Amino acid sequence: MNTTKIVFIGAGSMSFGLAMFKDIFSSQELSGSTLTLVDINRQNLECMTRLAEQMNQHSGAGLKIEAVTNWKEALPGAGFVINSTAIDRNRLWKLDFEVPKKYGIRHTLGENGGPGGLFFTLRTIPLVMDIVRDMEALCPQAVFINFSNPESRIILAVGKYSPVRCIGLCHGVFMAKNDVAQIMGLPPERLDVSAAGLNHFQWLLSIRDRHTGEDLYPLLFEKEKNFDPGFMPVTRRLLRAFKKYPSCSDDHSGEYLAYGWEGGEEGYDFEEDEVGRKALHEFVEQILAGEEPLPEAWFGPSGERGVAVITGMLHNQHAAIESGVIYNQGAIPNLPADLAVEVPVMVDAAGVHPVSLGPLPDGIAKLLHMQAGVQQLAVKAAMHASKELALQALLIDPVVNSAAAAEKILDELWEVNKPYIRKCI
Amino acid sequence: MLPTKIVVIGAGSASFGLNTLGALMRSKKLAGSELALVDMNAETLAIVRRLAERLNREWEAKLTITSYTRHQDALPGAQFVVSAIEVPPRERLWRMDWEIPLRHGVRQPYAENGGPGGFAHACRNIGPVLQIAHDMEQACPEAWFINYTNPMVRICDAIHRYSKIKAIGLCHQIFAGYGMVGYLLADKFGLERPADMHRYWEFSHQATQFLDIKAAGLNHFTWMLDVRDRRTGEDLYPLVRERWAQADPAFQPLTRRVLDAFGWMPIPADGHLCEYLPWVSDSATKPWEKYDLHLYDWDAAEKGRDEGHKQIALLGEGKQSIARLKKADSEGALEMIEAIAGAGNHYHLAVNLPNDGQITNLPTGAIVETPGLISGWGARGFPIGDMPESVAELLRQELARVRLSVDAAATGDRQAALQCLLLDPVIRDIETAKAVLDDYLTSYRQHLPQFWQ
Repeated sequence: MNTTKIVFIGAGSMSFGLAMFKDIFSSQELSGSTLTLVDINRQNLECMTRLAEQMNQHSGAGLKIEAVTNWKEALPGAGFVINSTAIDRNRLWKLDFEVPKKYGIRHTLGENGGPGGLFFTLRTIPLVMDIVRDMEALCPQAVFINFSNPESRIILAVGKYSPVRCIGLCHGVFMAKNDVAQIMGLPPERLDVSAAGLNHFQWLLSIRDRHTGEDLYPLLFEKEKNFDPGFMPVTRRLLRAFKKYPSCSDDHSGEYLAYGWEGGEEGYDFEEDEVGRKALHEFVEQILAGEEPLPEAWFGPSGERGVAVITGMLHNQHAAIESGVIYNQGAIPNLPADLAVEVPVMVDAAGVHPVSLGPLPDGIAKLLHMQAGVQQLAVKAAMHASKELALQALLIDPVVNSAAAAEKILDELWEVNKPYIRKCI
Repeated sequence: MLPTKIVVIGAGSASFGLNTLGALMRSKKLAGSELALVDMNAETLAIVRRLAERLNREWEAKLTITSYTRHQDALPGAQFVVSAIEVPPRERLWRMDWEIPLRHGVRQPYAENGGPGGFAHACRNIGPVLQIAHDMEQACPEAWFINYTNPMVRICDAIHRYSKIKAIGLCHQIFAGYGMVGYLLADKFGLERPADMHRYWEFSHQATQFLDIKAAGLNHFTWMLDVRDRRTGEDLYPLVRERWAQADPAFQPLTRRVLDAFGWMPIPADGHLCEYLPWVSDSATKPWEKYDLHLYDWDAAEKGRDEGHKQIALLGEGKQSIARLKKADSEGALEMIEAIAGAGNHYHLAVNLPNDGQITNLPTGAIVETPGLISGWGARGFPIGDMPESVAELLRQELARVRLSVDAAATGDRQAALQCLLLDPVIRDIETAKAVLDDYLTSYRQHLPQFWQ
């Protein structure tokens, strides 16, 4: 069996780390491979390393587990580098959400689009480029698999500024699939969807019955008419206007729309996130102390596709992956080549092969074009550490409804993020 | 999978008909579907239908078999139209495609898909193919046209630019590449090399178990961009180059020279590769002797065809075992139909589709061959970026001839026809081009009414 070395940077993040572990340790195809966990938080790293060792032993997956706090030590010999890092995630995200709101911006999450998305980009890109530059030197053949947000902007930066092979993964397409299944009253596993667009704004170009091949769009349109009007109202307005269903939910897609706030403005539930995080941490501690057994559910699929990409490439499986974020270069011919887009991909030993579903319907392409400019400018601002470009990125963003507010937001959040912003070109 | 309707046009063809039938009828997913067989020769159609009914019975395929001598009667309700039509008699006309220019001092190396022969061949077949496509626009506008007729690039280009029907071209030529690389690397995979190096093709099936090749370009003119050990993923290109350098100089000498000069291995092997290159027709230096290039064996093929029809009759009458048909290779039609109608995900080694981003330095809309994914959404080629620039230029030159021949064939434009011949490197003189064109159009007058209106 072919073996590899997987470096998992940001492995101390417990909920996402656990998702990866579920797939890694329920796979029989990584036996003999090395999993190197990396996190700057020594305590979390140790906890996750012990969990990995237990799960490895329990499942017999047969990996070698290592742990280091500095990724430079981990990279030599790596075949795959998984990134799930975030800088002081909830504290800074909260500011990304609240500061624009204070100046009158109406937005949904403040994470991947709008002013929040800009500052998230400004502080994250330098960190990502540090990792990628080290990969260029220490493991130039390795594949960078990104799970961190802002997903599109990270893949755009890596695709544009580095020769390192990269793919971004997100479960957004499955959220959309579940939602349309719910509307139609069908089990989601019965559906086969083909989607293309931007991350968190992929359009289901086809929805079919996996068994019969039947086109289910007519059924969706029919059932949608009488479905709970409170469910994904903005997404469904787009469905009715553009005739295709956009992923992945009102709050995520809403970040790219001037009218996205109509789907709700409550933002991310940081409190619940903290509660869940704490509970999971305590539970893991109990497992490590031998007070609780490893739940069987932790040895089944997580719903993420990271491990499928790794085993597909490692074992040359020509594996069809429902969705991957890639540097466009023609995969969606009527969007700019210089953009991160999300399309189905096929992976094998030769690499990641995007599947072009052809040009997007014209209206949808034009809607995405607006966001393309925002993403390009935001990444450029981050790469050059340019406050001037950052202001331009704000002023072309459809979520920004006031130039005066944009200036104030920029001054306030630039100061907050200053410690992380640096030129990386 | 929901029942579908498949129309096979040219079902009486000895090799294509038999293989397509074998492949479609062993499918477990097509049960309940309709298979409509079409051939304008009522006699061969009846023979093929008998065989289809036998397969349906003995394999319990549960298909509804119908047959028609006119495709128009078969098309309503079709979701897939599989076509391998050829204006007959194939071998005699092909031989004339080669002989007519020779009367004017132009000696082509193969004359099937490229060169003046490719022009004449395309002109003959494009009329009937477009007739089918236009009838499909009325009867089954959403159906896929799965084309096997040569010249592949020109036929698909005609359907794409002169009808509203979506077409995909399927061809097994990539297996020539598997065969050659398999032959060169046989010992690495513990395979015994056939004593006769010209029989490398027999290696292709075995080679697919060990090799994984990605190729792109134009049909019968693709280039190996990536070659790996199927199991380990190891990049084998360096080894392949090394083995070419050490191989018997008589093994595919043209392919070897092109690989040396351009740095990338052409896939189709010398037989087809020579059709598109400017350096194989000089009557003074006789490069076809240097490269040991053979013409098609028209007589043998004609005999083989008669023999094939007898075989089909024997199979249909139950006088021969049908077991071998279980392994028949449909060259992709079955996989394509099952994946599209059944919402599958099928990786196909080579699909011919209009370029909408697959190859960034070839013209948009040109028919290019790349690996592809076939799913409920349809057939899509993988974006592979730029071809190496020197290779891309060879491809663009051929595409210019493709476009002109298709325009000429579709509209009967004699000026476009003349320009097509004048852009052909086989032709060195304007008067010669005119003489060859006149001779073709006069000799084939009954097949080319579009030029005589």
